[in-house]
Amino acid sequence: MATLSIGGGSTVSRVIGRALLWLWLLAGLFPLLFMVLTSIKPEGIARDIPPKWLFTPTLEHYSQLLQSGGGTSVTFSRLLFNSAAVTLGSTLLTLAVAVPGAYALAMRSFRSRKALSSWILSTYMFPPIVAVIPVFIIAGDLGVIDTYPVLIIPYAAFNLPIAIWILRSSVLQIPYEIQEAALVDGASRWQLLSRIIWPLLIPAVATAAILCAILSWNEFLFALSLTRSAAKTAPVGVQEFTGMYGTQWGPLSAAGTMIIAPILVMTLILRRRIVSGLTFGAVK
Amino acid sequence: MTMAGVRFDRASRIYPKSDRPAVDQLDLDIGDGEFLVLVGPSGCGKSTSLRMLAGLEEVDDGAVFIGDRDVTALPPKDRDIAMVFQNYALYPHMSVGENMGFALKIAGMDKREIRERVRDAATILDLEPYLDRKPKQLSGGQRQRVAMGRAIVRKPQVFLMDEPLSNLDAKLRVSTRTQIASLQKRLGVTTVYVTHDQVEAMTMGDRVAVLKDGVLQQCDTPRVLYDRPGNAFVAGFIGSPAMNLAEGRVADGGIQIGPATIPVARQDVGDSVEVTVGFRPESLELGGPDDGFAAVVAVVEELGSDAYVYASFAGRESAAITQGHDLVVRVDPRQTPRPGDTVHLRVRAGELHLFDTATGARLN
Ligand SMILES: Nc1ncnc2c1ncn2[C@@H]1O[C@H](COP(=O)(O)OP(=O)(O)OP(=O)(O)O)[C@@H](O)[C@H]1O
Ligand SMILES: [Mg+2]
Repeated sequence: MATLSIGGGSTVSRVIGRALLWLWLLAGLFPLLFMVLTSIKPEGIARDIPPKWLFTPTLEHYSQLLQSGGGTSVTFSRLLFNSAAVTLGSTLLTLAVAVPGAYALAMRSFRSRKALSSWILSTYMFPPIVAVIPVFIIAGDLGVIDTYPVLIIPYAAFNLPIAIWILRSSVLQIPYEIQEAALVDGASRWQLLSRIIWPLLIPAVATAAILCAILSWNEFLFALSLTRSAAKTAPVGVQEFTGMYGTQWGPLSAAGTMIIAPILVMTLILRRRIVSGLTFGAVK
Repeated sequence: MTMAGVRFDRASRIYPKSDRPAVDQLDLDIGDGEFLVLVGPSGCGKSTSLRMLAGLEEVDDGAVFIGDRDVTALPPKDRDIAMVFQNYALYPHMSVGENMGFALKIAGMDKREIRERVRDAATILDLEPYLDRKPKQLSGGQRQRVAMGRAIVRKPQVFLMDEPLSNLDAKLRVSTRTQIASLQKRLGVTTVYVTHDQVEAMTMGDRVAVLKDGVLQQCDTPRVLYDRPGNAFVAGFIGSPAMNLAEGRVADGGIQIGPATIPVARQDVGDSVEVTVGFRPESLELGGPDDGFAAVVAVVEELGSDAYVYASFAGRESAAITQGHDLVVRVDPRQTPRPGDTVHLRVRAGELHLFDTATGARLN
């Protein structure tokens, strides 16, 4: 584990700093832990106050959830599948546009590349909520409400700026002479892209893909407004466990756990890549 | 393999947003198999010239030929050239072997032949043990050799090298420069080599082209550049320690420089009035009290095989403190004068260079 020493202070202040960090970490992790525990508590004791800490764990909520659903007739496994499909689709679409876009925006012969890149990044500040209603109307006119594309395309649009920015700064970090060397070695533009740029860009592509995937997987607002059942995603499903007749804590926390699990696992595996991707351009 | 020389025909490059050409009407004729060195101070347009030949830089005016092909408008890949970059520009994701074989693979050569050629090149360059390593696992010298290897496996018509030794330490630079020169002779491939180091230029080149501010000053063999520099700039640039250059006026019996007069025949200076006199440190002899001109010794530098005396014209010692010394003289290391001594110096017959101060052009 990396040690964190701020200002290289004395042992005492280091210990205090550490203790605070651990406290912060535990406080942050507690809700997560509580959710997971609740999800494996037997029906009936989930809502007991004060909470019971000793119980026989059960997976009944999970199996129940995967077979039926929340408020609708759609099973939660179907919702997870939809989430996965939308996430995969929008991530692939984002990359398909962002990789060539980033390369173009890094080319020296492209005159206004800097201004355009900054403008593209600035669109990242655009609040998605403003777009919901126009997109809803357009999607309604096109008759694509409650389909995958109606989520895939807006997600890709909102992910594009950050993906382009990450990829562009990676392209810029490839020494220009390497590209020139490849051209002198006889490579065509296409071969330069496929054999030199692309292999060197793979780590950055992975970073961009992870970020896009996380954002798409967790997205709630568009999914809530633009889908009903066929393309409904898991985050929307979760919210349906709180209904008129009270909250079903068991299935709710089981659903939450299932949504968090893949992201958590992926983040743990790839944490170094994500961090380096997020600090792009910070150190140069 | 067809053999080919290289020709720059009044080739110019004006960078966008620049009013002055980086390379100004360059005329150069490089023979087949020749090792030509482009040398000059930083920013004089050496790299630009080389990149124009490579096709990496546009030619705004004039033309560039390889063999009898006009390549002015051709992209780099169609020029049949190989280039060694200053920072080597190795492909970081490929092994040494893949780096060297990349061009051949692109050209669609079959795998077995690629492997053979790469192995041959690796043998020549002592790279066999490293063929499977990635560039970042190599030392600077090894990377440099991989860059060379990448060029030679191609068997191109022309090698282009842009300061390939500048990232090596001094000792390795000296040994590598002889290796490159002998490798080039062995392969017989026309080579254009860029450096800012005049010692490299003199030791490696069949001919050396001196550039200044984008303009070709002189292109000739190292011997001629040294013995008969075409202008004052070349005279001062080539040689280490540099040639002594002193500005003076034509006077009775010679050129008047401060209190000293250097004897020069009248017809040698033509119509010029302001004349720059040049003589190399080894062109001076210590003479008797009536010989030549007097100078006051400031510093003596012993190098073992040689000794150099830094001196000022007698009567100008005080100026030397602020303006540097007037003269460097090579003397016998076993008979050096002492600082403060006044010595009498004489330029050996035929070793005096005269330049017009205004134009810099050679007069004699
Ligand atoms: N891409 C460019 N855009 C504008 N001007 C340039 C560009 N590249 C070089 N120049 C200018 O052209 C001139 C020649 O540059 P060049 O790189 O050929 O010099 P050089 O002789 O190789 O110098 P060095 O020994 O420092 O490498 C310089 O004045 C430089 O500022
Ligand atoms: Mg240069």
